[in-house]
Amino acid sequence: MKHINEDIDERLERLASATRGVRPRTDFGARVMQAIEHEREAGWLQDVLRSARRVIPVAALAAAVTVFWAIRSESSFDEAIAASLDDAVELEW
Amino acid sequence: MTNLEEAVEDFLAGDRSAFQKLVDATSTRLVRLSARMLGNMTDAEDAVQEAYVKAYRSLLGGQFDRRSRVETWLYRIVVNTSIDAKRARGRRIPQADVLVAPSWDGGASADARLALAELADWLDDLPEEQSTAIILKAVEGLGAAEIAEILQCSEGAVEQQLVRARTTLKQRRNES
Repeated sequence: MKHINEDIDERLERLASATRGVRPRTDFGARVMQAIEHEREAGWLQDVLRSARRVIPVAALAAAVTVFWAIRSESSFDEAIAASLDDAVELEW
Repeated sequence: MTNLEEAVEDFLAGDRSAFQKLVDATSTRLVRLSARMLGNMTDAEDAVQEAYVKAYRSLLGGQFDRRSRVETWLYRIVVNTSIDAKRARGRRIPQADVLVAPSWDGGASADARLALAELADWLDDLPEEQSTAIILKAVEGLGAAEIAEILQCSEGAVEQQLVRARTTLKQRRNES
């Protein structure tokens, strides 16, 4: 037990010196860049989802307007057909 | 302009691969710092990896204000991430990493790993700010001004933390 007779500075110096050669494993840089790549992909997906979230209300409104317009057009079309059929019947008579 | 500042400039100009230069230039020092705080290499590598992801996000989000040096800014992120990791794991020091695992190819010798564990165990009872300050000063060899910048406090507060840490360690030594 070296530290029993050491003062605080000596012990800190010894531990600093003993750990000076510590370094990450050789593939650590590649591992970090892989994590960054995941982050980049996740970031891209989040950007798409964030943009999509902004577009959803507009798309829903556009869909509602389209359905309303389609229903109205269809009833106008039916009325026009009915009117033209009436005319045709009258002509036939 | 230092290499690190150039790498940051390149990154901000759109060269995303410049981040690799930052990692290559700083990973050894940062993993060593984190290992000294956490007491083992496995937790240190995890914490530093997480710190780099945070740094990447910060750079992309324009949160690096360039008031600090790049290295000091990275130190700050690693210190905070290591403190969070320490809190998350509680006071447990994973013994598996302290004992020599022959298959493990990290750059820490058995002596170094024992020294990391001894350091963490010795400083474990100190409040976080005191143990961090004493590691940055006496083990990493940083000056009070840089430590203050990393810990985002005044130099006086750093000196106070160092005095308190030494007093506690001295008291504990006298008691044992």
